[in-house]
Amino acid sequence: MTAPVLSLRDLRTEYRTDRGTVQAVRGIDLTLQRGEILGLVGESGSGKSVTCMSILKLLKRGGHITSGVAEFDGRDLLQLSERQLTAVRGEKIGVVFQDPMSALNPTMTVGRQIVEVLLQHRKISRKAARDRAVELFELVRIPSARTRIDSYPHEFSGGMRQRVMIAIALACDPDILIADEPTTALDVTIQRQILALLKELRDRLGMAIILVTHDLGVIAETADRVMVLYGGQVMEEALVADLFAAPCHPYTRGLLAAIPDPRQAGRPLSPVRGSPPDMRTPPPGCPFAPRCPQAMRICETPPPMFDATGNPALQAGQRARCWRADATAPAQIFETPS
Amino acid sequence: MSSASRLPIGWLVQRVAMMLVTLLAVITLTFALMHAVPGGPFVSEKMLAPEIEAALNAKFGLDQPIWRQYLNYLGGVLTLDLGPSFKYPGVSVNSMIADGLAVTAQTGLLAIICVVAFGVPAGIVAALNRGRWPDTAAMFIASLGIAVPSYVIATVALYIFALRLGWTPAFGLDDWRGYILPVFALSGFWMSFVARLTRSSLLETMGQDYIMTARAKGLPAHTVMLRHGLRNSLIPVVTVLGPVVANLLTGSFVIEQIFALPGIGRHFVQSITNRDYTAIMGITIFYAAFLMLMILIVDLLYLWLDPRISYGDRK
Amino acid sequence: MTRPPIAPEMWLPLDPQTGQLGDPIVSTATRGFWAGVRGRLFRHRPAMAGLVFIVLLIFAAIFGPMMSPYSYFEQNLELSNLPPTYRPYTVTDNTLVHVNTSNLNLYEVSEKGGLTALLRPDDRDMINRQSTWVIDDREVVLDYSQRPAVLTIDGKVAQAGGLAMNNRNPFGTDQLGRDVLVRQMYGARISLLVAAAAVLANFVIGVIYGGVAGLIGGRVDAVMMRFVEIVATIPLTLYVILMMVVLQSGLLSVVLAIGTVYWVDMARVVRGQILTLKSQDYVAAARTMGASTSRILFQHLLPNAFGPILVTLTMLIPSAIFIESFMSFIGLGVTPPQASWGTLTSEAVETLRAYPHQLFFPAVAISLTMLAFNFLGDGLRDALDPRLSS
Repeated sequence: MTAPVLSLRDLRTEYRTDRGTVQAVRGIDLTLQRGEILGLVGESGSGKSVTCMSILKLLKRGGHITSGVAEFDGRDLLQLSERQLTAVRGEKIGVVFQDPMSALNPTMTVGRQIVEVLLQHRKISRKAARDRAVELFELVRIPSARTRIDSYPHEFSGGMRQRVMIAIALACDPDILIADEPTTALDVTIQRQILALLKELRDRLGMAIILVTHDLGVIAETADRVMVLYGGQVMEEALVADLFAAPCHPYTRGLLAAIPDPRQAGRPLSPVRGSPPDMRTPPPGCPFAPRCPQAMRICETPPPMFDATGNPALQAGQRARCWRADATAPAQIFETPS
Repeated sequence: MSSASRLPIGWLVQRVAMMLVTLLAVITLTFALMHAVPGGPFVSEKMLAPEIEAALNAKFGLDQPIWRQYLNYLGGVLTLDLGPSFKYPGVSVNSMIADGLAVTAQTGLLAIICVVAFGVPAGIVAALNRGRWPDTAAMFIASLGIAVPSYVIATVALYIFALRLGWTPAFGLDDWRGYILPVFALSGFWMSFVARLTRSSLLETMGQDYIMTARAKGLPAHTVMLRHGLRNSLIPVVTVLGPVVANLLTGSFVIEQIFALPGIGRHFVQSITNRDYTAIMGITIFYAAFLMLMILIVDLLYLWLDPRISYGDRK
Repeated sequence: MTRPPIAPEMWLPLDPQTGQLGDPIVSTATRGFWAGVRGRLFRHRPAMAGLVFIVLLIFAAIFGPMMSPYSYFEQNLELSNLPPTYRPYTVTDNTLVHVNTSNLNLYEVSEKGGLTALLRPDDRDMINRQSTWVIDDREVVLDYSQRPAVLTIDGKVAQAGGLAMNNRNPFGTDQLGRDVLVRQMYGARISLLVAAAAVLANFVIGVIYGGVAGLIGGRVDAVMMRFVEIVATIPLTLYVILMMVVLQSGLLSVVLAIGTVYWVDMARVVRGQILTLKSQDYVAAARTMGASTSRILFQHLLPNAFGPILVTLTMLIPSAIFIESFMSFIGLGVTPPQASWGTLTSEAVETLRAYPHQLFFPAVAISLTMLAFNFLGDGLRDALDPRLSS
């Protein structure tokens, strides 16, 4: 395996609000290989979006990174100044946001919004930038690119707008594309088209993609590897096939059980009971323990990350933050069906 | 609805037609109100001989039936003739307006310039320093500016700067310093209002998703702020420019009174105290027409600023 | 990785009763909407300061004039233009006088420190520009041949003493010798009365007009809103002025003029709210169950539109107070001897050169009142819509 394009170690991010400090991300490790699609999955508030936005220090007001290293291109992104970061944002790492309705400036033509990135990072003429913008429009399959480029965002449909966003993010051939819930605001057919487009673009351009979603279906369809986040921590990490075949963490199992299965129509869904923890005062041990159907006394102690070296039941590359994966745990516990 | 043909001719025609209807309503309303005043216009005068009153009534057409008077007046307005003044023989309402227009327009224009030139930057500075002292200071002053009535600002300023310190003349517009206090008093409220609006609008805009997109593109902070933040945040500021014009007009009534400026506002207030009904009607109609024109201009400005708006299609 | 072995009992299922993890189902408590609004409003300090001021003002307006020994119209030309504070001159140990350097009068200072009587000079020498009084066998001379005038007692130049309060009239008197304090409180009455009238008109006319337009919709709505649009084109101040011309000056006319005109904004707000709410499911549900239009309006829609209505009201109150004082200032409002903050200000402007302090009280009163209502309005708006608060 070659060196990862991005490696994130012990990232911690907080949000200060009027009503207390929210510990949004609590020590996340992440490695992203060249050309892979890494899925980050979790409920809202699990810290998946904040993790992504922390990489580029694109935090909303009140948010700040308290510790961590984000190694990219031989540098720690978290140590860069705002000015140095502008050379990375949009140039080396592109971002696609969730809601294409609000993520595009409504008073600027989409063409200008693409040309703007190119002029910022490339020493090219306005004319050349415009030609490149048309090319990008064609790349993301926007029909009649040459005329559509002078339209305003409100003159596009949701799916087309998201294509515009992808074109903007890819304008400078980035090494990494961060796609933060890129299909959540779209309807299902459009969603499939966008996901297919992302995969195809990865195959053609070879960039790595971090795909944030709350939808395991999206992961199954698109991602190579997946990390399940909960309470600001990684609960489980595995290749997509392994995760679906042999989930280790009770939370992952809960998520999988909550997916409707057409082959078992009529069977009631079993949603994960309860609601996510209040991240101003996260539970002392495993964040999922209060909702976990298999919680044990040990779960009030924060579990470490277990991997295949400690537990032969885990696949290579699979890691889980659950005491049940502990080598010293009584055998029957791991086997307890969910 | 491509972006090339954005000036909606149909909308404009409809708009102007609506303006004319509104103007007709205003003319009718003021006419009705002025003729609803108990007694005739010459009643408050010192006892006039019946034949003189009859002659006066005949001169101003008051001996004719009311519908006839209304049609006459309407005809006059359509030919841009607002009739003679009741009080000043030989003076027409048109000439009264023409007489005061220069003064009112000058101070009004200066006040609008002040509103934009000081209000908008103050709001930007406050937003950029959110929660720090420049924000607190600017917003405190703006709260005062909104609360303290213009006539109080005017009289206090008059006392301090003209009477006490002697820096500015107490009345008239003989040199440039004469403009300072009236323009300040006239624009104080709207400067404050615009400062607060700009601040909150800019803060709201800077919280929008597309600002995050602009940052994610790697644009420097000031480019994000100016190119993406400011322009969009100024859209609501433009919408209040219509009301600003309206309020500067009514504000001028008292400001022109206090500083003894010979503008339309002063003529208006004088015609009220003089019960000069034709002048009151004429100036009101002039104000209404002027305002509607301003609102139309603001709407067109809005169209240019915000491409999402299309006046052409109706829901 | 070395760590101490885990005790076997740790692998037993977690008992929620003994565990410290809490119940996940009720992990986030939600407060009621209005409880939240109240909480946020109470924490908004300017709004609370404004509220306290308004309550005090209401008390002063209602009870103040009753408790004052003076009435708002009672004139006393001998004691006109008295200051709230002054520097007395000592004639003898128990006789103090106050000199008004603008009208060159001498006033007797009572034991309690009030300015109680005008002292008429025993001799007026117009040519040499001096007046002479004989007080307690001492000769008091005011020489006004130069400015400022000089007071001599038995030939010696007298020095003014320390600042004293005018206990008779704590805010001084106006140019007709009326007590400024009682007139101020009377002015507060008028302002609050006008505010109350505007609120009433808003509620009755605005809410019903807007509610009916929004609820019936269609052609009726279009016509009704066209009318509002026409009214809204012209500034309300202009309408009020025209109404005043027709109705003649007076408090009742002011109230009538403001009442007939000040409902337009409210009508728009209510209509907008109704249109938004109408499309919501619970109204459709009520309709399906056979609720009548008026029942839907009063039981379902208005309670939900209450927030925006309240905010519009608190914004309208200061503007109604302002317009009354504005009208009174330009002489179209209340008639003398009634006192409004507007007339008090314009009276103060007449005497601005000689007695600038007379401007102080009405200017401060109207400004603080406007400020208080604005602060309360801002606080209420922020409390109702926490998203907007900064």
